[in-house]
Amino acid sequence: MSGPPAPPQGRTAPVLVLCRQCLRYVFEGTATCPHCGRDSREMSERYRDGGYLEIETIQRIDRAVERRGE
Amino acid sequence: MAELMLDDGPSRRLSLRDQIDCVPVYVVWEITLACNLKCVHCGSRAGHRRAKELSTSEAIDVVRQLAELGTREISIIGGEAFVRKDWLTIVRAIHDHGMDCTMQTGGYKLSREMIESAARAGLLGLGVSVDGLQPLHDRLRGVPGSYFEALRVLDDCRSVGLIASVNTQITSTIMPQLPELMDVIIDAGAKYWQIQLTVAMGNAVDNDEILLQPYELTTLMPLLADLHQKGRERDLLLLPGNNIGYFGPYDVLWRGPDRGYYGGCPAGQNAIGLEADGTLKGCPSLATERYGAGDVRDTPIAELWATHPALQFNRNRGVDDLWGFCRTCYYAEACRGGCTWTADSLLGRRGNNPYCHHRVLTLAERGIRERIVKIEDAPALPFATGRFALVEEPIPAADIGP
Repeated sequence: MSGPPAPPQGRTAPVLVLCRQCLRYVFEGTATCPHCGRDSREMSERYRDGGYLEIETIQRIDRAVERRGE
Repeated sequence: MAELMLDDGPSRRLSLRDQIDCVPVYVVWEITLACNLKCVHCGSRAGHRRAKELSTSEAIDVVRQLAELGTREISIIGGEAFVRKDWLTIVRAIHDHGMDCTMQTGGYKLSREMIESAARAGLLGLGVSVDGLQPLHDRLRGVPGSYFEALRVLDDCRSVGLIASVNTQITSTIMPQLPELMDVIIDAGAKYWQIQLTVAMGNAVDNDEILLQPYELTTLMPLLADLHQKGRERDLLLLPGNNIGYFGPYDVLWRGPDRGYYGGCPAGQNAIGLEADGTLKGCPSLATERYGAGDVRDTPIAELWATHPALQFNRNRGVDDLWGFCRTCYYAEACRGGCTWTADSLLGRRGNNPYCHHRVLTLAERGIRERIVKIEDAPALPFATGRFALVEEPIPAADIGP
């Protein structure tokens, strides 16, 4: 017996990360932030002291786990 | 029409698998169009029940079908949902099928006893609309006394132990009232506050003077950021609705990084809207004429969900149908024009959304702002849209900061 048709596969949102300087979102892998013009990968005090590095790490782990489960 | 509840509930968090498999995680269901308020911004022009609303047994079958599709939360709305006599039966059915059930309400004539009954039936949370301080709220809601009724419902929720959130429509005159309104709803017991822009649909097209102009986001967004931070210190979480955006300097406050950034409109990919007469849509607020996908009495929901073109538009959407500013925006691939409902209702076509903070700031750097002007009224039908023109103009010298 066949069940209902499966919906076509959906698109996933592209990965964005925070610029570690100005805390605006940029696409993963972006070197120069389009907003502040600085190196978006270089850690600022605001990023480190605001707890954003810990959150970023947790998000990276979450994404890796999800991708393994695909 | 009620507003969506919280974009942030745990049941609504989307996994990669949810997105790829197009699981309809979250459903907003108008169980009746009957309403005891007369809101001047109501997109569905609620008031009288629809001609052929689903029967109790049909409604329970809808619940079963949605559970089988993987839905995790159903939010019942109206009209005014509790005007329907069997609303508690529907709440109980949703709960018994293992899904979270929430409800949006104006709160007018929703007694404490009814709230207690709903909690016993399995209602998880109640979203109450409060659209300003008393004079503004009562004027917008069209019924004197509705403001104090809404606050009373919040207080009743607190004493019953039901999670209460407040939804507030951002209209053209509300901004100066928001700080005091926050004090009021904290005192009344609210823990969550969802903000949403009033959209150009239905009654809001008739009364277009209540619509915010896009350029006013330069004032609104810093104000919301300030309230968000002050609210957190007082155990109130201010959250943006789907049409508050996108990717501006304050997104890091309310959309992450701990909760995740805006991933584009979920309509038809991870969200379903259902009208009381059984019409299925990708989002409850979308124009029925362009986005209605058929009657659930005629075709199983799984079949409509998998095959109907009106539900497919977001699933593999790139940037091809974006236009105007959104087409060349840095965030185009992620955002895809933001809230489909907002853009489509305003301009008759999705993919270009002037209600965007990033856009407003980018244009302001060029000395430009955008203003909307009504050019066509909306028909006297639920979820009807009119037509607005987008006027680009120099920012008046008086509005340019030092």
